[in-house]
Amino acid sequence: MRRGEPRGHWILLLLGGLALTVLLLLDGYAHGAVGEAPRKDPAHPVPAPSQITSGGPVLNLAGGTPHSLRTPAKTIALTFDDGPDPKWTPRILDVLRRHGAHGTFFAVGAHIAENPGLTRRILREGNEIGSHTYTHVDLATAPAWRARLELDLTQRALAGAAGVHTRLMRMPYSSVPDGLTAPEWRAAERAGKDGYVVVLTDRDTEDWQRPGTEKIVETALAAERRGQGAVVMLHDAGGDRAETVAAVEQIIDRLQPRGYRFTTLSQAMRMPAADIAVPGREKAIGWTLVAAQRTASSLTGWLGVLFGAAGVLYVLRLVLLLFFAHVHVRRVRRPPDRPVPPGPYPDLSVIVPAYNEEAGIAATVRSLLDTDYPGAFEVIVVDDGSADRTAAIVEGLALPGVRLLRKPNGGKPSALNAGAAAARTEILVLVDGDTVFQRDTLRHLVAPLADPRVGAVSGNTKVANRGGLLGRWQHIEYVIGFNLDRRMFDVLQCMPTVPGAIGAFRRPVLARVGGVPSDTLAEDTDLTMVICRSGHRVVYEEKAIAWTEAPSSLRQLWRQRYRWCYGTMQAMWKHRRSLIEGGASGRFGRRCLTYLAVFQVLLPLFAPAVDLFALFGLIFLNPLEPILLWAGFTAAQTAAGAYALWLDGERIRPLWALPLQQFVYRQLMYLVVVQSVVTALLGSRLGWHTIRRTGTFSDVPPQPASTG
Amino acid sequence: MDAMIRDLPAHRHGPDEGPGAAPGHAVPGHAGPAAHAPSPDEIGSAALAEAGVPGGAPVFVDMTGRRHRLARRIGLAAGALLVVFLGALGVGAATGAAVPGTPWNAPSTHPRVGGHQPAGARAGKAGPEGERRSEAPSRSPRTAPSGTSPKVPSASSKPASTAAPATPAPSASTAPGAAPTTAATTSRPGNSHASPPAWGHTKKPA
Repeated sequence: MRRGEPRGHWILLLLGGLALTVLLLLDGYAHGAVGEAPRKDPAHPVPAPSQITSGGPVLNLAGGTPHSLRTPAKTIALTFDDGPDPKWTPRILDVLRRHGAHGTFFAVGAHIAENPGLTRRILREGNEIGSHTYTHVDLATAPAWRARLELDLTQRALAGAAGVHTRLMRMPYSSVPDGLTAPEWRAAERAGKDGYVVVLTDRDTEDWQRPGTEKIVETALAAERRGQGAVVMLHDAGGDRAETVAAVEQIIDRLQPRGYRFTTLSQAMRMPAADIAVPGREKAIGWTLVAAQRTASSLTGWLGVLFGAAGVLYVLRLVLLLFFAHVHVRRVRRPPDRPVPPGPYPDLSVIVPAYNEEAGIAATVRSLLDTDYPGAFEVIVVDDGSADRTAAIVEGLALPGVRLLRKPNGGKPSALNAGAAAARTEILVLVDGDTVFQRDTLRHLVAPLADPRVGAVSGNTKVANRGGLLGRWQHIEYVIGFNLDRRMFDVLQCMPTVPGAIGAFRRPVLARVGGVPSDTLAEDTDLTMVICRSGHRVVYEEKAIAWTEAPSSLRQLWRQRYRWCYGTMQAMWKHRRSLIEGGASGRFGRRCLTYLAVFQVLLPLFAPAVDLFALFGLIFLNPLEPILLWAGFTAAQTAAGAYALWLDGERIRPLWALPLQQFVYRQLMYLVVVQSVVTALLGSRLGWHTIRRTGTFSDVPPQPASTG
Repeated sequence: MDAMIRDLPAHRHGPDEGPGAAPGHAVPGHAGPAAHAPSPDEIGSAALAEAGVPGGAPVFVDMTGRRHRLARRIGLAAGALLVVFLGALGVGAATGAAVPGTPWNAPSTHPRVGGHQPAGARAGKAGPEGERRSEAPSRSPRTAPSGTSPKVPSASSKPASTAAPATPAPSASTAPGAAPTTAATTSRPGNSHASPPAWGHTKKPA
């Protein structure tokens, strides 16, 4: 059985992220596709060479010398640009089929990819398809590489959608040969040298401007009496094309009786058929492109929904947090209805599990003894088979009221249970080996236990080492994230975690639930969930302050959060049945597990994709929206943070690190969640290193009591 | 001050702060005061002393490694799929797509291509219609049959594109390019299409 953290999934995630990025880019690129629209024409355009401007509308440039073709008499080649469009193209196809006519569709690659079935129908009914670039780019102003890319991609899209390549190409924004400018001619030459037949038009109806069906028909029929043939330019996409559809019907109705034929361009010009079947390899590559584009557009749709949902959820959470924090504060801080009797203060046992805590154990024990708790209490230090001098140090202190238990190494839960078994008092206080209490901590911590319904009390953990960016971020996180959450959990009676650093329990309750469980890595969460499920209240005491040493390096932080996250997931899974149970257990399960599942697991898991989408929106969509959203969100979070800090009596200044936290710290937490989920899925067994203690409290005298 | 509490060997689990070892299980009869009648305190004690023994593996841990192997296979398959997908897209974007070359046929020698019907019909109509822009002869793939092609009035025409140079992809092309409708064309005098290029010279296909 493999030991250790899973690692292979990072490559897969990287590949997935790359694929997601490519898809988003593709979608952004393709939806730059617009239809015919007025564009800025240069004031004095330089015309193309006169032999071109006076030539026919169909150009062949392959031989180095341009040849052009004119439409034979009584032949109309109807051409439709910018399609296929799911709304208008079928109607035009119906009209053509009804009259036994054919036309040529100069399709935009992006639309081909989006409507492969329609593309195949166009070909099936005997019409032709030509290329109109991938995103309707102005080839005259686009750089050469872009022009080539656009045309290549269009061919690929065509191959994927319908299994053909096309010879024909019409440049967007082109018109009659007369109007060809020099830059356009250069672009046409480039395409022509690659082998395309460049198609212009004889009659530019400008139907995209919607001048009215009459006008369109009139332009198209310009020389009908003389029996001339023509290439007629129409559009089947890019707006309301009802006029075009009607106009096509009228044109055919007017001219067919007079002997005009409506054919495809190649038939009119006596050229070989424009669309050639391609080998399987091309079809496969083309199909990948088509599939990618379709996936991309549905993906951006879903990501947009996810983005919106995540935003709504986060705002809802902030609102709820602030509301319940307010409720909690009002309840906890209002003067009592009747004066609280001064005693009796129950006897306490403080249990300190210690494994290799030689750096800070002395400071911890001293701070525990240096307290103003009026009742009797003892400190039980359980040495869990330490390899260093932890036990010796404690023995050396030789302080009254401190008992030392030695046991072979068995993990923190076993140490706690051993200490709890050895204790003789009704109330137990479980702390960590590196936590430092203030003088009044014990007194405040035990006070809520006067209410017999309360089974456990959570204290208020604070970060001691706040210097440096990491310390500051964790300080903010503890105050805003943990403590604000705990106020809400207290009010809603669904506390998931009494921190191992500072927690008070009733011994009978602990015994009844079977002691501290040891099948998860987050035994504090597990224990609290069990207690909640058995119907006891778990409250949060803001005045009982414990100072902990937060990890100071990224690696240690990673370890700690990985353990917490994975352990919490273990506990959630272990107690999943509470979701469907009734009574107190069900109430707890539905509130707590749902909250944890959404905000600690699901949203962080999807956060990288949502971030990527926000970036996408910044680049391709209107950048104002994401920026405003992000700014609004950060403002709301800062306000909530300021409120939380103020509630705790902390200074507001460290809040400046909050916006920065959004970028680095948040991403780190995503990775932790991903790693935890993968570990859970794979069922790996972990070997853990200890967190190295640097002994923040060793040289510091005990903290003075806080006011209140 | 100290009591030795012995742990019974028990099942493996993910330890919090030490290398994997057995969780604790206190042996009844730990050193300490002499046994006396169990009080509620001690009952709680006993319960606590026995606590914390996991029934089996910790949550999520799969001792047999089956899930790991399955996930590995799935992961490899997904990774391969992604690599193929990205590779195909890369190839699609980077390499050029072949454009089918269009033959501009030499006149007359080519059989008529299917589907280009109406030469005869058109010929009839075209004649009376007269020419359009006969002075600007565009090349037409429908060319007069061999030999009889009159000199194209290209000399008189503007030095327009088409006339003089011959078809780029002429005989070499296998595509049954444009249909030369044979007799029909020659019979129509003024029609511009009837004037074939000077097809004496054939340019090499590009």
